[in-house]
Amino acid sequence: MARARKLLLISPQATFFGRNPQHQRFKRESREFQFFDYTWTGFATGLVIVGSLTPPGWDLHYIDENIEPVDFDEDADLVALTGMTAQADRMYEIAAQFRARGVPVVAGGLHANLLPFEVARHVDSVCVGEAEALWPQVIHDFTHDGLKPMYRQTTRADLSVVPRPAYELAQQRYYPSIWVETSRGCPHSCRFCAATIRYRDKLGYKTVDQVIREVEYVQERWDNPYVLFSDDNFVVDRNRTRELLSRLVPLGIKWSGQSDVSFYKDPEILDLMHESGCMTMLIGFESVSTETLDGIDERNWKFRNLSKYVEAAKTIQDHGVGVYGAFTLGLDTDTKDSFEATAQFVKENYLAGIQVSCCTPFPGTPLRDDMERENRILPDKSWSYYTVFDAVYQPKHMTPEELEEGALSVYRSFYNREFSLRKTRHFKSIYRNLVKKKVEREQALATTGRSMV
Amino acid sequence: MTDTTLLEEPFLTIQRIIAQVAKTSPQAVVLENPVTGITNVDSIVMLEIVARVELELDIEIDEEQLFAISTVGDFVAVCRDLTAART
Ligand code: SF4
Repeated sequence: MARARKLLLISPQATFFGRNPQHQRFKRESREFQFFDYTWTGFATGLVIVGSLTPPGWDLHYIDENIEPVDFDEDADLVALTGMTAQADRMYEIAAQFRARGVPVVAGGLHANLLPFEVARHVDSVCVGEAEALWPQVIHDFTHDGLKPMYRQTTRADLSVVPRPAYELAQQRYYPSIWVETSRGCPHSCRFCAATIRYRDKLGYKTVDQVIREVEYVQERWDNPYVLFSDDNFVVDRNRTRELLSRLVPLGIKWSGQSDVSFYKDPEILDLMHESGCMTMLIGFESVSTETLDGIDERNWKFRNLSKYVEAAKTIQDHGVGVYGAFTLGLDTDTKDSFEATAQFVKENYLAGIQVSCCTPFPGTPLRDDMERENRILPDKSWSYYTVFDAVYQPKHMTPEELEEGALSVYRSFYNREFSLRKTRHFKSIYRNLVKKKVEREQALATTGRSMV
Repeated sequence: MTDTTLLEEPFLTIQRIIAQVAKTSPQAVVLENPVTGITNVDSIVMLEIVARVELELDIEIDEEQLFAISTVGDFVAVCRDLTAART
């Protein structure tokens, strides 16, 4: 019998918070922040997708270097690497070690999509596009005619027919959250967003049946999994969202997702989110400044919605769904006062959590083009600093150090014991109201046999 | 905490509510469990549990007390003191 070929699927190590010493110290010392950081830690989704697309007859080994070291002597016929920009430097080091042994290396993922020609200098083959559209060809070429240096996607993958990701590959490692993808893409095109560059032309969706089967599969493999829906924007198609949420209710999971604020006006979605176990939504507010939001996305959607941020945050949280606000600081209209204004907003509105990043000019984004033209990219900041928490360019109204320190000051004023106590009081009163209403409904149902509307 | 704690209120109420909210079996809820270490319980889930326990036992736990709770046993002790003080 022919020997099974062996594929190593490797996610390189990276710092998923600022590399600068102040950020690292804060991360070590803030219990409140550690909890946020921990919840949003999951596996490399791209690799479990590649695993699902690899034909039988291959032995697969998933390695997350953030959890375990790579054994460079491990037997392997082929290595697949993925990574965001912050992982790129390490991705190249890993590729060099395997290639020195004569093991071919293929790279895909976000950074390979942003800078394919740079990545191509370090690996045997680069995949530009979605794995579903490319990986079967890569495997075919590897086993028959030899790898091509670059694979480019020509048509969008139809997500409604893709196989279920091979979640089982990541099952032996401990992940606080399990990432499940239901759609790809986002209707907004923010100037600094690298995540959606691959999908800008069109959104892609899995069917509701597919998603439910995947969640059930995850439930079979993990004990009470906390599911993180990794979609860039979970609520774009309202009808589909309603159907999906209704089908999640009986599964009894706890979950979080990411979106814009638009769903706050849909009471049915809000109720269904709470009933289906939605704990928090990470919402990209980006900024609380009119000047900064003006022109931040192609349709100026965020600028037009700024006046609704307060009402939206309150309405969503009053339905028992905590709002994790994502903010990007350091754009050209931001000044040193922007930090205080952001801290004030997140505290006055009792957001459940925050992610405050330094605006980062990722390759391929319009923001990068501007920064390069103006010669403002900091040359000493290698890709490993593209953590979104380190300043990698010269901001207009402050120094890079002031930007990092300012972003951290927002964290400090939010993630501390005193504010956590106030926030706890606030959320406890929300939950008391919700529980009271739930109990009243249950009692009415018990006495009349009819549910109250 | 004695063995009889496991057969008495407020433990039984707390055990039932944690199991119901965290979608786990009541047997999995023991006094030694760290409150946020019970599968499926994080700090927001914990607040839903606290709100339900407060309403059922007709007590109010203040935030300082809540922050000092690290195990189910601590939670039971705080609720027992508050229910005793109420009667
Ligand atoms: S809303 Fe978020 S995901 Fe969508 S384009 Fe903007 S930054 Fe990217």
